Amino acid sequence: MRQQRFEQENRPLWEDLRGWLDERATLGAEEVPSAYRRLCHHLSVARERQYSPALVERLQQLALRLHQRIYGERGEGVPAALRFLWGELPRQVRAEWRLVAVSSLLFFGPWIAAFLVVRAQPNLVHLMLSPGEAAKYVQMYDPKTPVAGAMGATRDVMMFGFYILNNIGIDFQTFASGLLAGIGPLFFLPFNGLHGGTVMAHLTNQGLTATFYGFISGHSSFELMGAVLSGAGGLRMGFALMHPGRRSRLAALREGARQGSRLLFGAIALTFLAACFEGFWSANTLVPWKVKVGVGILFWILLASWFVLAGRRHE
Amino acid sequence: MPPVDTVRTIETPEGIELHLRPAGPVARFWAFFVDQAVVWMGLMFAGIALAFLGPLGLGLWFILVFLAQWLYPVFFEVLGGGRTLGKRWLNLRVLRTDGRPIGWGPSLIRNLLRVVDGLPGAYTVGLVSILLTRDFQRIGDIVAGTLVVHEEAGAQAPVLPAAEPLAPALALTLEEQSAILAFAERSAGLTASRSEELADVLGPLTGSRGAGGVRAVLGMARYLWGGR
Repeated sequence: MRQQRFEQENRPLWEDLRGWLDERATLGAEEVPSAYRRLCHHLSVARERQYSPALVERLQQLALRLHQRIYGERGEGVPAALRFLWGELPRQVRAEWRLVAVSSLLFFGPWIAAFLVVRAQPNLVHLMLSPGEAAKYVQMYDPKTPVAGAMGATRDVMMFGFYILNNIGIDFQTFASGLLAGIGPLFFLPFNGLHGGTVMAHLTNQGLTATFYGFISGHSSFELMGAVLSGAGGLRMGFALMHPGRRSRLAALREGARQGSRLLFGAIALTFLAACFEGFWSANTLVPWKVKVGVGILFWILLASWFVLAGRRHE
Repeated sequence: MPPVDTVRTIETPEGIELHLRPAGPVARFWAFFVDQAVVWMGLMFAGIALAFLGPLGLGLWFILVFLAQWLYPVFFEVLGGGRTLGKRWLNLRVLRTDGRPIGWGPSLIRNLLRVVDGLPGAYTVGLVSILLTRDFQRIGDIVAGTLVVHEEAGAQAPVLPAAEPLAPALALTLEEQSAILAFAERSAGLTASRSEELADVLGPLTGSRGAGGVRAVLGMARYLWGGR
């Protein structure tokens, strides 16, 4: 068959398919699959008969667009994201509990150690913090310093923005550098843990219990577990690279990144939640600090029970 | 025979082969450059506007910086059909290696791993990786299973130049017929002297040279395309 006749006979079909792609459908949804298969046939025929390159290219572009539309995923909207957070994330955390435990140990181990050491030997604070930094932290939590909440709502928004930029950025960095055989989390987690523990002990030594614990307790659960999850996600990637098991190293790495990124989605959600509390609740001076610590503990319990209990129905 | 080109072939469940053309480092650099320029200009103007709001504006600006730094490409790639503004400018598109559109997971992975590709500065790791892989993938692409492809610009049907249909004196193979058709389709974009030079190669077949040769070859293309 001559190319001209081939084009003439089949052009209506191609136009219909193009119209379906461009949202001016002349073709019912149920007719698309069979029309697409006929297009695929036309493409093969056109290639086999060596019709002109421009025609082949046009058909192959159309087939590619349709392939993408037909085999692409449905949009993952807000309901899917909520479903993920509610059910799949806790399942993922339980499935990866070893990595989460390692990540927690890397983070909280140095934290507790630094806290105990600096509590016992207050001068050792200077191993981690320069005198200027130490003084800055003390000044930040000094009851005489006006705290953020006292400066009104606009100040709260500023701090909220800063926490988003800084904290989620750190999560991302920790996760991504996990690809380097896990070196990122292995460094960032203990370092941040040491830093946190030192600051906590130093401020306790200075007797700033009320302002400090009142401030951090509310958001501590979300923020610290967010850091732990991003570390676990990074370790997942690094571990897959180091120990691919029965897969090729590349396939293992891809799978590791897929699993790890799910933990990272959880980390983002938790850190975002933490920033909300840190910006708009933690700096609040109207609530007595003991109540705020109580609320913080309650959040820890809620978070733990979510990790342990949520999403069990489909397992 | 596999094409002698940087073409990635994917086979679909329908049993056809589709060709993707991965984009090389230069096109991708320009796309990146455009993206960065747009983002930082936007941040600058937003910063100036938000400065009037005091601390509130600063907070909003921090959030914008965060979004621009980390999530701008993710949102554009997933919601904009695999194209950030820079990629749109250069007709590039991010796809999965199997030709499907990119989703949230792979997009987040490939964009966060810019941290690794950026090591030790100026995207050195990413560039080396692009140069070493057949499909021009940086580390983030390899791990996420994605690639950046050239998108063929609006495939308009070229019109064959009008000519008197002329049957070739010899039986031509399919490949030869295809070459003649390709010449006719491209002839509108060639200068007259280049057309003649190419048509002269077929001198023994057409029996004439120069403008007459071009006319003869176009006539043959017309004949091969639609008959008499």
